[in-house]
Amino acid sequence: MSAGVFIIFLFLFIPLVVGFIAAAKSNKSSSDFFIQGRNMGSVAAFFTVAATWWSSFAFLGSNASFYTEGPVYLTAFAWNILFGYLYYIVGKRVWYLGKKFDYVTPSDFMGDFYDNEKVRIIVGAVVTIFTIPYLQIQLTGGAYLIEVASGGVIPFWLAAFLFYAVIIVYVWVGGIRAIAWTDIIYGAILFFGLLLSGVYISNVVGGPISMFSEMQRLHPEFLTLPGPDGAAGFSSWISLCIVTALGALMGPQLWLRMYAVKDGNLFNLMPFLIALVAVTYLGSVLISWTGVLEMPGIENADQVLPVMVTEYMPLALGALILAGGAAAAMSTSNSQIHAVSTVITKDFYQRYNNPKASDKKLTKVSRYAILIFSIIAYFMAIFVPGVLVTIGLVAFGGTAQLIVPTIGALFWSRSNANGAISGLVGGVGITVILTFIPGLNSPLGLDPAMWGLALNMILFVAVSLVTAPRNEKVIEKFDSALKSFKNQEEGTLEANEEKAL
Amino acid sequence: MSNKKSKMFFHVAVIFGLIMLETPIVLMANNIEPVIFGMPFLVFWVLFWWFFCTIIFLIAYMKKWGKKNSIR
Repeated sequence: MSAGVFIIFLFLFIPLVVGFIAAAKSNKSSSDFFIQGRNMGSVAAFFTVAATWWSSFAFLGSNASFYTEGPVYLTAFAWNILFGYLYYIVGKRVWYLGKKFDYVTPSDFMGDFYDNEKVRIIVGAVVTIFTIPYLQIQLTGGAYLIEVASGGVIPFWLAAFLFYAVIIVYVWVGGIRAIAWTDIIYGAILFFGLLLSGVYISNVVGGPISMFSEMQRLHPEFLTLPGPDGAAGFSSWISLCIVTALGALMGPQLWLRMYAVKDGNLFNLMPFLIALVAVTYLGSVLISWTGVLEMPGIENADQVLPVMVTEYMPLALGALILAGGAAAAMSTSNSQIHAVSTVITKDFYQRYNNPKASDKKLTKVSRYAILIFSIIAYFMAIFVPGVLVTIGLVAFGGTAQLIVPTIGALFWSRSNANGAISGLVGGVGITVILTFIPGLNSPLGLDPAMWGLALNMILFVAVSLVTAPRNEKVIEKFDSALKSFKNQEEGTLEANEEKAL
Repeated sequence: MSNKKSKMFFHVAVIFGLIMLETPIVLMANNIEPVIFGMPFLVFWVLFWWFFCTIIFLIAYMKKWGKKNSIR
């Protein structure tokens, strides 16, 4: 197993080096630390969005799902399309407004638009609280993969510790730039890794086509909804797609990645790139269904990928793939830790505790926030177990609720703070109630967050309509900003006005 | 195609693709037969509409989503 340990060592060491190189490019301002001074290049921006979006939820969870539930995870192809599309529709506008009004966090945008402190606090709380379980699954997944790749030489607790230590060090020194740069490496490993191992492993049963025909002969129930247990049908199909796409898009780490982008043209391209990388899910299909044929009865479904890879692939290659899985986890958790610490620093510390904090102080506070937050997640990963996909959906379900006030802010000038607050409280409330109160089943088999979104939307519209509109000045400010966005896009703006922006 | 029309086209096409995948219409494709290119029909169906939307996204990017002067 020394090859495995060696690869893990490289895998932990290279990002550190990259992080320090990135840090050397920093200009030491807090804006540079948080959003790279809105100057992130397109390649880095693509990889950091894609790799952040691509977490252990996808890497391990997809295999677990295909292995136990049949084809329901194929809906992932659609959620990449939805996510990419919304990244264009919502992301480009958020980016534009962020640049214009100097936003750094989701609360900056929402608080400013709804002109209300409560909205600011609720949004900050939602993104912080619901990122914790999501962070926990990254750590659990990543550490588990390191443990397996090392052949058990590195135990889980140590793997999780190493995993975090490395992330903390490079985020500490390099901020979001270090994350984006390391995400280029992580992204490349994991996209190619999953697809290649899928093709490789399916050769065990004679390649993809014969795998499908064997499945049709022996396990046809895996090839159509609702899968072998009859549990994962259309309700799961649509819930997964919507909740995952919205939940990931509205996570604080993705917000920061909307603000950080330098070139607006990237938003035009991103839907294509994000949709394209969905092809890697085919790797999961091939691995898991080959697993159904050749290795039935793996008890913990999250272990399907590691077990298949260690069984059927050459040692070094296998370890590299597993490292790719850990990369999926790291590239998501590094961004989450950084994003939450940014939210805590900007939205809570600076706003309510120390508005006059110097730039240097802000960076410092956010570094300590990273440390504290990581320690919490570390202990949660060690002591609070759970199946990855399930925990992931809870986390996504919470952040997904933010889509309603966001769309409201961008497209409906009559929306107001009361609508946003009641929508969010109702939406998050019903999601949490349906998820956690035992014996209470979500109607129609839909994910609780779907009901959350429905209630959220209804309350948002209804309450906005029956309460007073926002302050006229604020309405005017955003109307004219969004109008100038539209005019610029359509090319109807005067040339000199354009230069002024 | 004028800008406005092509702009509409991209959005309609993508939403159409999503409707094919994420409404109960997908249940009509929820079969193993006919096997196409060696893939069960549901797998083929998903890949087909995914490919369709991906290509639309590519064309949309090249045409700046039908905008005359996409902001950079």
